[in-house]
Amino acid sequence: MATSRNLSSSSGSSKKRKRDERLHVDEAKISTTSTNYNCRLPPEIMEEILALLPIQSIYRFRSVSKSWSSFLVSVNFHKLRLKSTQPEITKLLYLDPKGIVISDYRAGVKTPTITNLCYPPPPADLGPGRKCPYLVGSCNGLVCLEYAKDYIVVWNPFTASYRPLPAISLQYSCYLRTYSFGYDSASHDYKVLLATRHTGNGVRLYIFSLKTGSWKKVENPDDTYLKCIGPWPHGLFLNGALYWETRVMGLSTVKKIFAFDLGKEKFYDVTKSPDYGYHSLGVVGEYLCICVFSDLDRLRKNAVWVMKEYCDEASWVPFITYYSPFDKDIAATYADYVCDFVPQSAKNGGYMILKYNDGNLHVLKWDNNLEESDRGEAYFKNIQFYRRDAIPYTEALASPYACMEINRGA
Amino acid sequence: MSITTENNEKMITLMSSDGEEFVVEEAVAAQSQTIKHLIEDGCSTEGSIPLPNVTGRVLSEVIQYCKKHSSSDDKEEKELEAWDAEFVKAADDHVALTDLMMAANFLDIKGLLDLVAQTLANMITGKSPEEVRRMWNIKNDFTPEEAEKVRKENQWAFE
Repeated sequence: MATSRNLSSSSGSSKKRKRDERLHVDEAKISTTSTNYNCRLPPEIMEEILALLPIQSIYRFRSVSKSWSSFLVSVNFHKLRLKSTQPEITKLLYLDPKGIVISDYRAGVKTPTITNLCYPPPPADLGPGRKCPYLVGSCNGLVCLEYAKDYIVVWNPFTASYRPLPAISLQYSCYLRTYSFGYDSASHDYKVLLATRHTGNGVRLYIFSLKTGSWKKVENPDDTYLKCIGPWPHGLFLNGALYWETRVMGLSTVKKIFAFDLGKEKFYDVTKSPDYGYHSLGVVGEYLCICVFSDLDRLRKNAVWVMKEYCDEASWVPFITYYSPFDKDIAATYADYVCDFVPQSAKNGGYMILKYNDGNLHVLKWDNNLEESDRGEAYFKNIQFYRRDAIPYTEALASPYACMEINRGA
Repeated sequence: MSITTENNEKMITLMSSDGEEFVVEEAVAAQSQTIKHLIEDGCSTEGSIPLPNVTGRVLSEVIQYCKKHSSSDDKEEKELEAWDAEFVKAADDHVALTDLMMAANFLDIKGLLDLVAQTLANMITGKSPEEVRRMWNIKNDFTPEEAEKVRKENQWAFE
């Protein structure tokens, strides 16, 4: 068991160690570790390697030894793995008429690997309502699903583990509920946000924390922000906050991008919306982006702008341009869309998902040097899109119950 | 001992655990954070810097890596990636790679550490627990009952 303690306690600390200590420690180690025929691995090095493995190998290697088994289910390992592998395995999750599908574009946008998933069962008392859930959002491998009758489930599609959230009792009847999903790294907690709108135009905000396992009402949220949250889109998750853009209520209203900090549980202004034309919010890597759709442009060229400096409206820079998949006239009809970037790796770009309201999903390949991409092709025809029903998704071991999954399907 | 070359590049001497000496440009050696700090602390002014954890064979590989990475700029990224791939291929087996990784960890060379870690991870991805135990002499400390249980729980990962 001594090994087990070493393995978990040294996690993350190797880099922080002072160099004198480090020299000393390693000197002591040399006598037992350096013989080639007796190849052993110091725990901190082993951890770096294990964090890079695909999920299946991690589950298999729980059989190696007790110390491996306990390390591979530890929170430290989970955090280490999030840091090292996240950008490499991002896939796309979307709804099709039969259910939920994962597609993996690593082999190319024209030859995605498609996997159909069994989603968690709808509530027993659903009746004749829609059985398939809507996708609220996803982060770190957890996906938030919204079924009819406000039945919310947090689900890890990879481990097949899921957790139905308790129903929330609202004091007043409401006619609109908008859910969002995100992660706060400081408290290592996942949160489901519920914005409600009541008759008489009252608005309220509730938060469910996966850690505490309960709903709570947010006292005195800023109603001016809350009133801007419509039936869709769901908050766009990026680095501990959820993002929206205000709707244009009248010509005099200046549009702005605002966010909800999941740690502080407060709304704040991000920036004035850039004035580049009709656009929607998206994420490129670590940056917030807008996808500008301009039907005035005769070339049907659309552009994506990235905010390089956080909260600085002067820092929007053009990122890539691409051609609309539609002819000009049709394009105007299908203007309403959401765009997501799925990074393949930090260096090599990834693919870009365009969700137009023609009901099709368009996928474009992009890389960092790409100035101008090809006209996108529609790969998925006639998918019934509603809200943000295609989201980037990363396979991971996060459990909807605790920080780590113990058994698959538990 | 500090020597200066014709083009005024400061040279330093590194000594491996088995007493082999390597004279390298300071800029090359300073890719190792550990050595960089030792130089800053003035450890290189007298004689050579001893590296008691790294054998001459491994140190020569590490220096090869540092040389390549200090002479290339960002424009040659693609070429550098190809070079890296060849470099770890030449290390041949997990024993050599493990030695290299321990040296990279001790010398604190992030690029090399990441490169070797990824190579070793790729190497073991498809392996069985028995093979992994054999590679690094890890003792199977499960009782037969525990082993059966943990295997059953993760059965899908063996298929």
